[in-house]
Amino acid sequence: MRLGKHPARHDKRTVMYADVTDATMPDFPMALAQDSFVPEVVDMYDNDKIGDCTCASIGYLENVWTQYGRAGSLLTKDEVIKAYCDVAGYVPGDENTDNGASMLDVLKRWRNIGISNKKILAFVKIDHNNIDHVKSAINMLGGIYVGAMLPNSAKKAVDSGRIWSDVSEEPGTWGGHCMSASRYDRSTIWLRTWGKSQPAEWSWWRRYVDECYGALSPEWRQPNGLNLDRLQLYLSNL
Amino acid sequence: MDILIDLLLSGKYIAAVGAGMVLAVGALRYGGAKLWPWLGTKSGGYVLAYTCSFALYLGTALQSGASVDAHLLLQAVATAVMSSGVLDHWRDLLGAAKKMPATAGVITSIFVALTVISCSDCAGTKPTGGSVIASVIDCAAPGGDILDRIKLEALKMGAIAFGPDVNKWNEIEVLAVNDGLTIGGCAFAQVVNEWITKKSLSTGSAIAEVHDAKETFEKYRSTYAGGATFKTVSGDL
Repeated sequence: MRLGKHPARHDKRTVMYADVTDATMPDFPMALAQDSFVPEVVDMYDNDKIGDCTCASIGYLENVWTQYGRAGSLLTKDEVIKAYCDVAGYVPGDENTDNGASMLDVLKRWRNIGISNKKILAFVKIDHNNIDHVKSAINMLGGIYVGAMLPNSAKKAVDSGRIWSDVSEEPGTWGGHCMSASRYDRSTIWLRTWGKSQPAEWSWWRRYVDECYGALSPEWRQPNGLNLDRLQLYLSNL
Repeated sequence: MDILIDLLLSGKYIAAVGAGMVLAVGALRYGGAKLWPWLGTKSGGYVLAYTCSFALYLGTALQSGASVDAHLLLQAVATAVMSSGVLDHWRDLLGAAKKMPATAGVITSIFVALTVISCSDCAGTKPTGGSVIASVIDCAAPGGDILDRIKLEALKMGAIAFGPDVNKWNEIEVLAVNDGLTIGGCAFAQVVNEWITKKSLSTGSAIAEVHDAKETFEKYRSTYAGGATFKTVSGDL
């Protein structure tokens, strides 16, 4: 298993999710699985060998938005690795160039140039400490793009198939990692990483997640409650 | 029996339950004293009262879907002590323990120590209407015909939820309260979640309706379920 997320970076021009929702934050189900069409195990886009988690997570989100290929094409492993090459300067076979990437850089490329033939309409920053905003964004956008500073205990939990619940270690003792999330309930959020769905308790999320974004995809249904006019206004002012 | 437990857990009949418990303990003490005179003594009465409170806590928690662990047992000990008047009784019991053999004294002391430790958890117990509510109510695995009854109740509530009534969520809340936590609460949680999942895909006035549904359920959860999580096949609600 490889990681590959650079430390969180904030661009003050990034639109906040809460600024483009309707006056009151739209409510969301108490438990939701937007990824019910997606198999439990999917392609991990070589994230076991290289640090392309920031691009692999785009593949996981596309799996959900296209209902795993029912409503659009999926990203292939080659397309994901090419995206990693384009954003991070990775040269296949040259380990010295496998240094991970910044989530913000990937999002900007995804929106402005596109990843393979897929382009998002916009992306917004979500206050990851506000669990209601996180759940609301999963409900409206189908999934979110998540960055965390993983502790070593997270690796042990993955190895033994356990939920991420141990919050005793300092964040980042293992490293920065990018994932996606499309499922939650009152106790747990499921993070898609290394091709699988890794459950994490909300207390774990609060301790280790350090950045979170929502992307508006043309392949996903138009969200109810997201003020697209206001979003366009924000974007036009950038 | 399940119906009786549900009624107890609903907290609506707590006065009757309390009166019943007093009568039962009284009958056990004075009836039992004829066979075993020690039950008629002060110490015997205390031990009987503690044991009954402990068993009541444990029984209702288990019926609510809690699992047996050290935390639950300690909470049961703490509840038994609190509901039995705490300190004066302990003083009497410790006084009696001095007259007992050394082993009995040690056991009593351990019981006191456990009580003191577990009282740190007292704030975490969430009694509602006088009954004890587990922090997780398992809607997916109760035994007997409870699952069928939850489904039936959910169907009934679903018909109201997806119908045209203006005041439907209050109506459903009343049904949930009347049916007790395991059946009414589980059905209510599942119906609200299913309804919101469907409604949040639609447009317009749905946002206010969804808010109303959620607010009513959360009020029910805090008032009647001690803030418990409902563990269902759709996830933890």
